[in-house]
Amino acid sequence: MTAKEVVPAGIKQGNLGEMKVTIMRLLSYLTIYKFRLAGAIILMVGFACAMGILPTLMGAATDIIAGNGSLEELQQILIFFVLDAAAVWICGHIAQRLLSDISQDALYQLRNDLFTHMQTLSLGFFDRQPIGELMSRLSNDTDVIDQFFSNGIQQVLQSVTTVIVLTVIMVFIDPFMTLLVYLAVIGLIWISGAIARISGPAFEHMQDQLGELNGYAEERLAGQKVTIAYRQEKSSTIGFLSLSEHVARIGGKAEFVALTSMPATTIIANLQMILLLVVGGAMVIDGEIKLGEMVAFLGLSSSISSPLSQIFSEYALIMNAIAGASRVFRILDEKPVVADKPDAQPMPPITGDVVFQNVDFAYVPGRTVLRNNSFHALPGQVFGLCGPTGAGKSTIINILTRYYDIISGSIRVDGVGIDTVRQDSLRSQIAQVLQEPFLFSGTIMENLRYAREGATDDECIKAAEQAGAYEFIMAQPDGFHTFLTDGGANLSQGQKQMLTIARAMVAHPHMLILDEATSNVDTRTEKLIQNGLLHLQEGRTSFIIAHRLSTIRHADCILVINQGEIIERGTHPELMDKKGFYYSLYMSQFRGKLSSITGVS
Amino acid sequence: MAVSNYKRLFTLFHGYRRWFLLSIGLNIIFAAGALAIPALSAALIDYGILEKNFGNVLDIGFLMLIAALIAGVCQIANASIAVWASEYCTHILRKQTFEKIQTLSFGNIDRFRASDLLVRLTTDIMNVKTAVLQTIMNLMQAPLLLVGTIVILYYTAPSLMWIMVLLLIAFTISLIVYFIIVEPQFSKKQEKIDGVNKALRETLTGIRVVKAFVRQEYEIDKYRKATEELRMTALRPQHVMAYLMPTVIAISFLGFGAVYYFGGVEALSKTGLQIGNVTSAAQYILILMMPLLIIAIVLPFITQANSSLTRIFEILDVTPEICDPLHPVPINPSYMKGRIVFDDVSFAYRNERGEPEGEVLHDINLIAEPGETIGILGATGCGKTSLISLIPRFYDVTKGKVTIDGIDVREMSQKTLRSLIAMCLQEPVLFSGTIRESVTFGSPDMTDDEMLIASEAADAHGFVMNIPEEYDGKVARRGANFSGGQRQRLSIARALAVRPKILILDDSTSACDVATEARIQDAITHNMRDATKFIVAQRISSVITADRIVLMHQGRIIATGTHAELLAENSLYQEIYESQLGAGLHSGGIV
Repeated sequence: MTAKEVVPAGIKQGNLGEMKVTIMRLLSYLTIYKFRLAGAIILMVGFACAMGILPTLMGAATDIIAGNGSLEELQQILIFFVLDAAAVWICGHIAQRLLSDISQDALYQLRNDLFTHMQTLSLGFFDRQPIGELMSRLSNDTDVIDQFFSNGIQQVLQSVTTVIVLTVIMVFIDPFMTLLVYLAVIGLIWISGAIARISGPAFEHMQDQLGELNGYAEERLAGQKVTIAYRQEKSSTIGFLSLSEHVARIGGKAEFVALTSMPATTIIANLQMILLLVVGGAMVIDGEIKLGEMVAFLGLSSSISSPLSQIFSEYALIMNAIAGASRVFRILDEKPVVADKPDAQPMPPITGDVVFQNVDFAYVPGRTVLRNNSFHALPGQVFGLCGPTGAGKSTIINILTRYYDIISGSIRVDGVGIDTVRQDSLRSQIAQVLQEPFLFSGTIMENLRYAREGATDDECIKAAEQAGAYEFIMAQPDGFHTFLTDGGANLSQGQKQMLTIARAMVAHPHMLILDEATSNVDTRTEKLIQNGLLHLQEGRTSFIIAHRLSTIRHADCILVINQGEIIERGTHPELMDKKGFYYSLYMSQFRGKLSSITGVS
Repeated sequence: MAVSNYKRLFTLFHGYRRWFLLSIGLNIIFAAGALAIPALSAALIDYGILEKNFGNVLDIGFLMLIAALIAGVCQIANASIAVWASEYCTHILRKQTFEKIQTLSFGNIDRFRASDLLVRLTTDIMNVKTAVLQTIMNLMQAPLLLVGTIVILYYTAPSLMWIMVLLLIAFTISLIVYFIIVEPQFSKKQEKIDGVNKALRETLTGIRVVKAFVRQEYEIDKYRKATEELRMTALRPQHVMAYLMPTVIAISFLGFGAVYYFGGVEALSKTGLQIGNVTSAAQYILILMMPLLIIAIVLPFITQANSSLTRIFEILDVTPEICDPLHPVPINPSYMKGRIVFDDVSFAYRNERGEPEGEVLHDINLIAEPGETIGILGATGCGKTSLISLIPRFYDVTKGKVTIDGIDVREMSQKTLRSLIAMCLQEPVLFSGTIRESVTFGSPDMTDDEMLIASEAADAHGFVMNIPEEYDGKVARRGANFSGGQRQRLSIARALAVRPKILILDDSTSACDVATEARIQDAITHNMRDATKFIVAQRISSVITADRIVLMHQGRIIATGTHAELLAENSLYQEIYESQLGAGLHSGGIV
């Protein structure tokens, strides 16, 4: 019934154009705060300058000391040190504060854009993937974007400005020595790149294997009782151990390669320092530069390598964020399949005259689920829908409430085509009780009021009484104000179902759809529920999907659906007399033992 | 607490301790090398550059090169130890935990819950791995670098020591502030993220309800509130960090200033310090920050791993609820008949402390003769599944006894006992692999004929043959590529394939339509004439053909008899019949 279509994963490698668009779009969430962002960038530059001035101050101090300068000069330098410290504090503090405000605002905006947009999407979108999968993807994607905005942006901006500013200062002092520094920088980039090229795929491989191991463990643990029942504990363990060993071996390799990057960069940084000391030392001895300049260079060069390796370590974070963002944007770009027409009017109050005329429908183009269905329900009539699993019963309901648009034919309520009116105005007049009773976390009262904003407490309580839910609600610790955690995990299935019936009553619907679901309820509760449902049906056109045929025996008309077509229709006695599909469906419940049964009854 | 967890973790490395000594040695050499470099650079300036002796410059430069290489090589060697140790202990922990889980009983598993066990087996063990890796790779360096810096300064520039001590105090205070104020707020942020995700999950799972009642605006508003809370919470640690980070940087700037000024004053007055001592002291400020940085990064891993270890050891220390008797009664399975007697049985599930709590079965007396089919009928929660779980001794009775051919199930070994029984659990769990592997799960070396008979009887053969690879077709994780009804039929085939003396079907055909169910039951009656059969169901149509139907209500057997007898005599049964099948016979025009 659901259209299985795999949502494409993130960006494929090499698709630079799309990547650029994604980055720009992601950054646009930041750039709308242009003044604060500009301020933050200016302060970042100030911060980098203060960082760059420090080594030159050290150099100046060295020259004073080495050149037997005066104590006053040294004192002046000390004042500069203090001023520089103050500058670095002020710039760093304000920039960081501005950036974190901007990035949290941007995240807030992005999350809400996404959520608001998803509320407008049609059910077809949610069918495409299991909700759990969609959910975990969304939370992962927003998570990586969060990490990028909360930490990454700041790191990258700081690193980039620092590298630029320090390079300018170095060139200003001595271009040749700058070249030496960049020689080491190139080495650093090369080594980090080489390690990343090896460890990246190795980690991916490990992640795959780890996924395999975790999947195996998940499956085996979930089915542990089966393993016990069939005495297969040993074979289960053997399978797990061989996977575990494999993961340990592969993981070790990946981890080791990644771990060598730190010592390797340290060695390069040290080589750079030694090079500067030796070459710089020779230049100082030859009198080409002053000792202080060399000392300043030592400081500058070490301050330039750390932001560079910072950018490297952020690389993975950035790529993840881009991949996540591209998936998020894909959802944001999704158009609702079932859209209101521009001139759509609200549906006038429904009396309940429903006409299906030659309706064809497919979830996926080309695979027709419903074929040429026609029927006419008069106001107040009860229609039962029955047939084997997968016949298309629920689909009829889905298109009647316009969760999906039909391919051909027409559906009219009170003579108005449902595709010409606003979806919301149609749905708000039809109450549905679904097979899986779904409740929100919140109090019972809040759940009842969910059906209609502004329903009074009295109305909700009255609805609960009619649905037969009043007694058990009052037996809850806080009555109507009992908090339902996790969608009512503290209630039984039957109680939840009664609440959804009460909720449907609160809605004051003009039409009713019931996906009968009483299979997990004991007989007495079921009776209560049936009574509640009867109340709900009074005077309203109702459609009931029956899983157990006894519930629709009194329907005004039963539609028997098989493979997407209405193959029989009529009242229960009419259909039984016909001795057709319905008859055999009905009789199969008694199978075989008719002799013994008839003997008694 | 924390220490004892790590002590216990360390016992895993029994026989490999020398690797830890080697790692300590490597760390010491690394620290020596790293610390020697600034001192050598001081010498290079003092004796090379200032004395205008290029030979000295080269010599000392060469020494620095060697020191750098040695330090690097030691660090890489240490990395290999760190990796080995972390992967080794991860594997051993996984092995011990998984093996332990295999010895647990149903009761233990109920209490731990599968999802929780999985978290311990995966996330928790990974946390331990990270902690071990970080400890060996980074944390062990911290004290060495700290002590080394102070010792070197003590000898080369004792008059600048006070600056270092002040800096150390300032950095330590910053570190403490970080852990007290910032860290907890980061975890608060995680809580709020969970809150936002929960709000998202709820609307997504309930999207039909949201749309049905046209409450999108309300949901958007609710979500906006959750994200607003997240935004405020996320900002707090970042604002603190906006103070903390610049402060640490500014303090180190002041430290550099102090070193150059006070060192400079001393060097200018020629009272001991040389210029090189001053520049190297400045470099040591950077080295001094490193251990604190390491602690800031690694400490959270260690505390996280500690709570993970507690959870892992909790599994390793649990006692299985059900154990084999010391001297099991020897049994030859092929001579067993399968007469099952529940003799005045009461039962309660055990709580966290292993004590029975809240009886779910009261005074059950029931005899199932060999070859008989017993239907067990009743609403959810009336104790049907509990009752049949006592036969393979998934749980122990709290009163009375369950016997097979007169032998108490507690006197047999679990392995023998369960080899007599095949049980289809309520949830049709299949393991990934091929269809063949799934059906032959209970005894992998059965012949193809035996497998085919079972899967035909379970009405699975038909749809299996529609798969191109037939019995070699893939079963995805948890059987996700099959429908609920198909999974149920495969799991019935799996049970039939072991040709048990006792067959238990726990609501195993609920997802099949009535006609399929009938075919399966007929085949079972035909194929397994000698086996004692229990069929648990909520639908009357599932048990209508049983030799006897046991009607249960709130943990008690309230009636036993054939369908006809119960329909004639028992009012509850009549009520159920009425609601499920209704006055069908009359309106069906049969009578």
